[in-house]
Amino acid sequence: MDWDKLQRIDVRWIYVLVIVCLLVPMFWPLGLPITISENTRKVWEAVDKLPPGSVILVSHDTGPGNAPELNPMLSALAKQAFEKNCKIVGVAFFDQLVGPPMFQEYVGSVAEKMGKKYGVDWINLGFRLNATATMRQMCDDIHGAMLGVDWQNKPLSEFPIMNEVKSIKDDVDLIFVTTVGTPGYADWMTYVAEPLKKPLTGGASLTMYSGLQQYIRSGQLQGFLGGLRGAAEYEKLVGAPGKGCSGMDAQSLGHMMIITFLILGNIGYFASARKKSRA
Amino acid sequence: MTAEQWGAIAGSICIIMAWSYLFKESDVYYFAEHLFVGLTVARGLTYTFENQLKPLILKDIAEKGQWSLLIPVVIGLLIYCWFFKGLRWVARITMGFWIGYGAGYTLAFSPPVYLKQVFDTFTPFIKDGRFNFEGVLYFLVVITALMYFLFTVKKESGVLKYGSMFGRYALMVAFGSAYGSITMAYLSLVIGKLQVIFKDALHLVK
Repeated sequence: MDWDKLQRIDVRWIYVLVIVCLLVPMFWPLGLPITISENTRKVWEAVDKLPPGSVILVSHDTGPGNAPELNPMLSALAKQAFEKNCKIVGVAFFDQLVGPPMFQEYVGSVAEKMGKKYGVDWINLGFRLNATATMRQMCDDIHGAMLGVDWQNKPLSEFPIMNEVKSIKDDVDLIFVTTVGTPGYADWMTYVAEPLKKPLTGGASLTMYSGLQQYIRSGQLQGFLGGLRGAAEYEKLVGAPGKGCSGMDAQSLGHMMIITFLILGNIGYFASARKKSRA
Repeated sequence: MTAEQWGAIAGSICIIMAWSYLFKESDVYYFAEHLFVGLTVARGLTYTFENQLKPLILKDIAEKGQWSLLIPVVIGLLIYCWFFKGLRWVARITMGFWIGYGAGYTLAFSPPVYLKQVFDTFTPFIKDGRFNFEGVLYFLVVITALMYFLFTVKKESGVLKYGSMFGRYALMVAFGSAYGSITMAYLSLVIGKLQVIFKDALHLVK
């Protein structure tokens, strides 16, 4: 066999095969097992140990590209938090067109199913520019930092939840950040979590996983949800399988396909190198 | 059909148009690209004006009379002096202010965060009566990776040579791990888009 040909496969065939591999389990789920990692369990525990009525500040810092990875985390968090009668306050610092509407959609749909009211049990404060300065101001004055309005410019004084939540320092019990880069954990840790000694947890795009190890290891970040996989594990833990779990079969099959192509590509590379050395 | 369904259909068409690039560069792809850029800029401008500038100008400055806010506004506007050749030095004042403010902020708040991570590098080699393999490996990787980045001394033999070699392999393992995570993340993104097409728009998947 001419193994050299493996080096000259039209890349478009690879795209087609990967897409097919991702599509098949969507139509015919394989039901591959999802094991819960220690990092995901730590996130669940961080929320679980909060007393009922606690306030969780959620910063949904995502753009359109990474939203499919991070959005399912919000649904699972909302389910776990609302079951414990915790309140959720949402902000966004990465993309004003994606963070606030996605937070509204994903937390809103869980809230509706669980009978939780906007402005009473949860609120969306929207996007603000200059993340670090806003974070610092939020430590002492959330109303001032968010210019006194929610994501649709309605005065915060209209919402009962905001009569209870005035500052991160006194009124927030846990910070949950979903991020794709900057602003991210480093900012929240440096300007809010460490100075105020507030617990920080959340999830991020898997592209950031290696770069976050030092935060997880030092305990500054209490657990971590890594991309769609982390979202699926968290959904399973809270007993609400959603978009995360439904994507895991597809992801596993996609990985198998990529590993197969990696092996074939390497066989082709070594075979052609051997051929050249013989010639 | 609801607005959400129309949105999912329009989104699906845009995804397919953008993905057409994988097959071949075409006008369909360029149309999707320009549509995306145009819509993002338009929405971004509107949002910024409505949510950031309008409340600041109309509410805080005009209504509440906080005229002192005009000072940072003026300092900020000076940055546009960059467009006038003779006045470029003025724009540097704003940049200098900005950089100084950023550096001050970072220096004031960062050390406690990073020091905690530095201390955590040096965990005991024997923990709870057992050999702490992870701690030892972590320590070795940090030290040898630092050795690799020592360029001011010769590393032709001895501890520095083998240490920096180990550090280089450790870095390569870290890069490989990062690359694997990135591949996994990109697959997640494709799955997300396929869900938009087949679940939200076509309702073919439950």
